[in-house]
Amino acid sequence: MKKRRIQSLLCAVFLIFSMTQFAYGAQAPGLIERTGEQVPLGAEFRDESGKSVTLGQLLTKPAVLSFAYFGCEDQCNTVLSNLARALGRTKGTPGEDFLVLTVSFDGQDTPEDAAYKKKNYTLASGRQMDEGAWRFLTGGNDSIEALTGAAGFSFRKTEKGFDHPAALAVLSSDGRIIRYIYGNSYLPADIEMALLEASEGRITASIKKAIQLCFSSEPGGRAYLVSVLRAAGVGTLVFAAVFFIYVTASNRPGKKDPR
Amino acid sequence: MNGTTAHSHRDYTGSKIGMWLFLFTEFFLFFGPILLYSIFRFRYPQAFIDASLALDTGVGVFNTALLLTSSLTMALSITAMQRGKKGTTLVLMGATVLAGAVFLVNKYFEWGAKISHGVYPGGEALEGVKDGGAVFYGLYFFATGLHGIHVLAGMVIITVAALLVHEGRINSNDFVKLENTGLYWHLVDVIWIYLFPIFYLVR
Amino acid sequence: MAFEGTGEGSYLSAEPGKGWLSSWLLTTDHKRIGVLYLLSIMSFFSVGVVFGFLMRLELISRGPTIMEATTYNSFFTLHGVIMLFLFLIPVVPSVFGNFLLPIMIGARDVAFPRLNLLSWYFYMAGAALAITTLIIGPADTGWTFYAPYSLRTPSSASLAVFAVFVLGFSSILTGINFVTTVHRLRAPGMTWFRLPLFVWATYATAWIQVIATPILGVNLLLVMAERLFGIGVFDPAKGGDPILYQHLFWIYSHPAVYIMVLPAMGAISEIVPVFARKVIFGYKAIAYSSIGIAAVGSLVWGHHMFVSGFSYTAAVYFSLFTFFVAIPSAIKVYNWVGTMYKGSIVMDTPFYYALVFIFLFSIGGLSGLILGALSVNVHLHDTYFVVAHFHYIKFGGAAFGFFAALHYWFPKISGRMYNRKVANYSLLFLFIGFNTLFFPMFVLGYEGMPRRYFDYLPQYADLQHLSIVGSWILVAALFTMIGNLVAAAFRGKTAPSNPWGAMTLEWQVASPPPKENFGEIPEVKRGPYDFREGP
Repeated sequence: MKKRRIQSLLCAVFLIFSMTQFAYGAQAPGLIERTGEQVPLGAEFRDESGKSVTLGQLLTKPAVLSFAYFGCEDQCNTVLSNLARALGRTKGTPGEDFLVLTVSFDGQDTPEDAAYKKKNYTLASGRQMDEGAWRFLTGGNDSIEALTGAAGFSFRKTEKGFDHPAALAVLSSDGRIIRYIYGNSYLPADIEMALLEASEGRITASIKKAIQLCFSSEPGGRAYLVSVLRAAGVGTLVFAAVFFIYVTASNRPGKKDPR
Repeated sequence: MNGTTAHSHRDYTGSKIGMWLFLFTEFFLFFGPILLYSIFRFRYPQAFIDASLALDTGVGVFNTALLLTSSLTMALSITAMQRGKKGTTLVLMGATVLAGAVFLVNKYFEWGAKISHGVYPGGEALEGVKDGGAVFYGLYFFATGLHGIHVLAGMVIITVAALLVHEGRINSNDFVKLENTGLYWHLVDVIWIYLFPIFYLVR
Repeated sequence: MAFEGTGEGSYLSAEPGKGWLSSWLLTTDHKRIGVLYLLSIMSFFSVGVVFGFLMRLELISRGPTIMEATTYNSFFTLHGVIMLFLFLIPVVPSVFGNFLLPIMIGARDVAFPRLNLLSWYFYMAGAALAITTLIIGPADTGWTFYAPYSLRTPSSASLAVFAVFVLGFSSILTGINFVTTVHRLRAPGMTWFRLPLFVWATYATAWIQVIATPILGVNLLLVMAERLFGIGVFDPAKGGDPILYQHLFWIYSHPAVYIMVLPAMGAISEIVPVFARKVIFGYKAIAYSSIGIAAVGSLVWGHHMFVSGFSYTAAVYFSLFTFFVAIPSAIKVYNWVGTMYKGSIVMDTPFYYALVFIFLFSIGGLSGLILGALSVNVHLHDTYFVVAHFHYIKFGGAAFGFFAALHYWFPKISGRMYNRKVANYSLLFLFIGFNTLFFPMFVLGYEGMPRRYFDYLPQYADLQHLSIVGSWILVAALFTMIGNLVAAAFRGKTAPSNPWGAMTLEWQVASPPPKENFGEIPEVKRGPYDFREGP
């Protein structure tokens, strides 16, 4: 009788848990994986010289796709400079073995902004790159929405800019999404491995990591947080020490024990 | 129980140390949401003030008074036990449980009012709220909910202790269990004393 | 049962009026609870080993070999969760702490025997929940459950998180019990500085358990509340901040590293003086450094987040703390070596295990310093170097410390002696296998092989293969080592009460110890490593 009640209780607990697993849907801004799907090859963008190109024309090789907006002051720069650093150290040569596409998701960005960014970041990679190796693309809102939607990236416009996730997508030369690389810092091997899979056309699961988001309004509390936590840590230790002294001083063993 | 445990059961100070350590961990459990509260408050000062103004201070004050009174009755029940007045002890413990129950009923209506206005995590009133209002209520429901669970646990513990008093297994010679029960109830009270001002008063 | 009847009145002999099963499952005897922990923890350890072994095997050729990437992702989560929460964190305190702490301080039991049994049940419940996630679809978040990924993944992360919460509860109860026991139940004359160093280490660990675990608990509760109700604290879409999860998580998880290593160090501090036949060098330094590790360890959590959006000042600050925490660890290593110096060393199995521990742990610690050095950290972050580093600390350190303790106290626990030759050869192959498995990972990491991939670039193939061969040797050696002990438990020769000639109290009672440990509570008149008069 009692046993059965415990059993049914356990069942109920399991049931609740398994149901709630699906209750939580993804919300903007964020990243929903669309591995295996095709990016819109017909979407039109402008290259750094303002010339109109479609994705299909550009994608002649496997490619690393990153999103940014050129007015960004925080994480996009981290993403791009870390990407540049990694690109400077890959075995394969950008432009020959693979391409890099950085697409702005701000419809206001101009080819001039793109050219400026391109100059800076190719320089930062410390590597000679062909004109076509790392493309910085701008485009109209329609193309942007088509591409980001297909890649599963979502953004939110705020007063100061955009909130957006930090991640790369790797595309095969026929425009399928092979895999995502999460985070804002990348090892050369991260990129090479995904590109190898892309050249073999093998679609794989991404490695789930803490996905980082970039806030246009950077929360000011970080430094404050560190000091709060530090104070809390010290407070804890002091409390523990005082308690320790209290119990040690007040309870000598064998003093009150009847044993 | 074999002889082994009988030794330690008579160790009054030992039981007390163990109980205090446990309360220590409980305190840390609530330290988490309070820490998050202070961080988010720093980040979204205005939203937190606005959200706090929407809480019913009257109910909060009443509940605070209720818990403080219940702590008093709990303490008195221990004094009564020390003096060997079993009947008084049981009455006072009953009063404590009753106060806890009234507290929870109040909480139920308070939560119910908020929920009926769509102010709850995932509720329509908080949809798309990004300026900290949603976080405030997220923390509010989390912290008061966790505290509510502790109130409930405290009531159960007091009821069990009352049964033990009734059976005479807690008596005027051996009442450390009752004292520890009292300590737990005071903890529940003290946590509320922290939660009440940060959610209702600090503006 | 294996051990039954190996001594009149021993804790293993049948309890009158109780069935065999209930005499174990409802026992409040700290020794029986210790044995319960030993058996259950070893079973989960085996499961964890199987996952680790399969993950290595997957890398034998490029691309999907025996499993897909998603399977691999959930395997490393399970390997991590099982090894950390079911094996490394509880193993030494729960098994040896339970079995030995009361005897070592001259008590009949722990302060709260029933609570002790309850914490075993919590442990089993948590373990059962964790294993359940295996069946209903494993989590793929990694053992850290980083938000916000853990908030959204439609896998069984809720259950896994709840499992860890329950395990944390078990850990807290054990911690409370041990602190109270050490304060209240020491035998007359057992002053603080006559406590064996294992007791000091367990005591310091118990404090970390009490202080740090609740923070993990509330953090996990917040993740669950987030998943169930969407309270928004870690969700940027609602104004929350996922970085806060990482902060709260590492407040616990950094000290947790010391929960794993400290008790193992304590066991080594017992073994070294016994086989060197010499008072341990710098008793107080070791005792205080245990407390020091506990204290400083609580403050170094930040160094896990060098590249997760910390300010530069904070990064330097935490880098500095990483170096600080190396100091108490170095003190211990120095003292162990100092104890051996000019000692009349008796070479025997537990001592060999202790030596391997010291060696591997030192490598792990030194590689940690390399990681802690800020500039290098950024390059090595998320590579195999990190994997190698923490396996040297956790496997080479904590697990080998446990093996050493197991071989040292096995005769006391079972009343029987194992085959020492087999144990020695097992150790040799464990050592070879371990280094073949994990040392190439340092090189792989330095060459930029990122961790957690089920695949690799062709240039890494040779070292990957070497590492896989290492995993085969290691697993075979583990198998012989455990097999040897199991065989000894059933058929081993009867062990004397003090086979190693140690001075601490647990060796002054029969093997296996009698039901209530001591007929009469002993009066302690000398320190734990005073070998002048002989046992």
